[in-house]
Amino acid sequence: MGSASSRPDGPAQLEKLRAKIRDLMPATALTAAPGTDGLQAASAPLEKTGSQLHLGAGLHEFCPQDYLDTPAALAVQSGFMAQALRRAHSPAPLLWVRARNDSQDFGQPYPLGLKQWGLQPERIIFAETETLADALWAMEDGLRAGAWVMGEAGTSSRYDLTATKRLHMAAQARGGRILVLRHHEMIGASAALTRWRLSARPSPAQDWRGATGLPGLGSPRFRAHLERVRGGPPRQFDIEWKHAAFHVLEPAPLADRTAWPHPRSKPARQRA
Amino acid sequence: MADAKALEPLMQTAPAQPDADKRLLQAYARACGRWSPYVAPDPGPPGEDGILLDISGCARLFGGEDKLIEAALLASRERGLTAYAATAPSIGLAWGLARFKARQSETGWIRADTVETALADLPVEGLRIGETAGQLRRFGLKRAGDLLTLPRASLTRRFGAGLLTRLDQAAGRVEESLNPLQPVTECRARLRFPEPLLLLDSLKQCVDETAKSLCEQLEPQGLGLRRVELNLYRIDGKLILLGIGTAAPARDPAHIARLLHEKLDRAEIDIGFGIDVVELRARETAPLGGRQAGLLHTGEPDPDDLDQLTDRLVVRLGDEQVRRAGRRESHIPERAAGWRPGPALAGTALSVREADQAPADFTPPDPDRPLLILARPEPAQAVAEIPDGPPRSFIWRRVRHLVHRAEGPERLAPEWWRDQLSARTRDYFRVETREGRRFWLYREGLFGLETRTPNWFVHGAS
Repeated sequence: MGSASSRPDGPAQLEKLRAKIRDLMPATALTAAPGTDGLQAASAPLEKTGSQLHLGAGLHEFCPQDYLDTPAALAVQSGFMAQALRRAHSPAPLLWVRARNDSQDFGQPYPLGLKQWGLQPERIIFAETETLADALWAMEDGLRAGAWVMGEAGTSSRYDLTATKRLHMAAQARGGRILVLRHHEMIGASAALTRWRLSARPSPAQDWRGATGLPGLGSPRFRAHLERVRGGPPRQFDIEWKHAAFHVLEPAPLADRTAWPHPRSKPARQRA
Repeated sequence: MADAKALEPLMQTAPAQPDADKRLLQAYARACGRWSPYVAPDPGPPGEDGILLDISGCARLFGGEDKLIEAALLASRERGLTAYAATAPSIGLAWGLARFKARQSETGWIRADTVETALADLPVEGLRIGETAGQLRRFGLKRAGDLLTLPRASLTRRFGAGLLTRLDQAAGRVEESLNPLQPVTECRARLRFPEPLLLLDSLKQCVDETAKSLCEQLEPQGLGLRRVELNLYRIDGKLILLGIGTAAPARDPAHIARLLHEKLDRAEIDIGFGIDVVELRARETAPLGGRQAGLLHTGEPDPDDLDQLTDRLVVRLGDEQVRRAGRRESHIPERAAGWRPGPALAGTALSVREADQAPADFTPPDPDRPLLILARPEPAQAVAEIPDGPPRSFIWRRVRHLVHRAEGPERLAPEWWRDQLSARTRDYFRVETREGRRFWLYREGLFGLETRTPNWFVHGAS
């Protein structure tokens, strides 16, 4: 009886359901309509002011290009987190979650080294879990309590579309950020706002030279390939960590002038 | 033993296990907490262990002293123990009566109505005087009542002061108190059921109830919980004990209950034949005033939320797994800083607030350090142009890296005040490879002074 009465207004029912879903979804996910440049939208997943990049509230993922790029990806992740925390003037603590059996073997974050990337060690709660399931629980619980989260996804298949959706929603509900480091080979479906693929680039050479003539280390540079951004096309940036912020390196713009009046071949021919 | 076996072939033997006996006594004493909160084990010679219960004020909950003793004795016998009991106005008298008079009574328990009559009839062995009892018997002093008629001075002269002390304790003339197993707490909430609970869900409901009533008790006193203990009394006399701690004083029943639920889920407790008493005790409390809520909704995280988050993380992941950054007075990188569990967790929210004004614990200037540090430095094969210089290339984890930028050396001498004879000087270099990857490596040993062939190690990255 019930099914027979609902069948005639099928399309209307569908529209009703769509409206319901629209209400449930956070507003930001919809502002950047398909086709428009996600970088320019008001509450975008990614914002660019001047030469700086800023991540919007929600889930962001960082993948190393290669196994050996993992520390570089973590560095970019830390830098972005520091920048976002500073920009939001957020007093939120930072929850750093790692799954012991499922993390990269480059060692632990070093409290004294974090400062170089703009993070304050004393506001970090560092939680190490046995399994990724526990790690996902800890990340979500942290976001719900108002903390911002640095996470690591590892190779487990537990980190899937459903899990990422949960994390993303939890982050958006409190205006928080969750930045997750992914394994260089593992790419699955994800509800993240942006996904970056990162590799290290040589830093600008310093004038100072040591005993063997090797130049000193300049400010760190990375190639950041924006593989995925919600409501925008993929892009590629060369970024540099300088003055506690990431700056996009852009080639100098061409001079704005009128074109050469004559075809270039003419004077050449005369000379000949 | 061989003679005994010859006489009685069916005799069974088992080695004595004093430790196991002691543990059993402890466990059973805890289980006796169902009769009274003041319980103490009273170990004696083999076969004569006892448990002391202070039942002042408890008897009426069980319908009178007689009923209480009967129930306690019955419970012990059901467990296969041979038990006798006695109640008396003093510890000494109860001790003696239970051991010497209760055995002769039909019911197995005895009650001292007045101290005088009970004491007069008590054998001298029942005074807790050990070998002195034998001496007394040689003088024909068989009952405690015989001693009371003798002059005290001559008793002391002949048998020592211990005898009189024991006698006075038994007579109630000298104060004696028992040392309870569980420390006395003012706040506890308890639920008792006629039928045992068998389901975890119903246990959780009880936890909700007890948490609520415990928090209600604490509120007028302005106290919050720091440590809570959940005691589950199993019907077969076992006690299951679960404890939780909180990062900051808490008085939110929902939060306490949630932590305990998590603990119940994780602990995989054995309910056995069921649980009939659920008790929640406040082991440690701290002052907790009301907190002023912000007028404007600023989107700042609520300090309460964060404390509760820490509690939940600790309960689910374990004490050791939730850590804060800590520094130590050392210049050796792996000792200088790390992640440590512990007291830093207290007052989480406050330390976050104060973090903005450069805290004393983390003051600049600090040397450049890598983002990631390996738990153990890993050996690498490096090629350097000059013995003291940075490497031009190195092989680490079977991958060759060409060094294009380098800074160093930063020379760190071993800590001579620590007794490490094998430790050597380290020369640290920050290097960048041709691809732009950054590593932190060191050469161990001063060339020519400490070693002829220095070793290289990778210690960190980026």
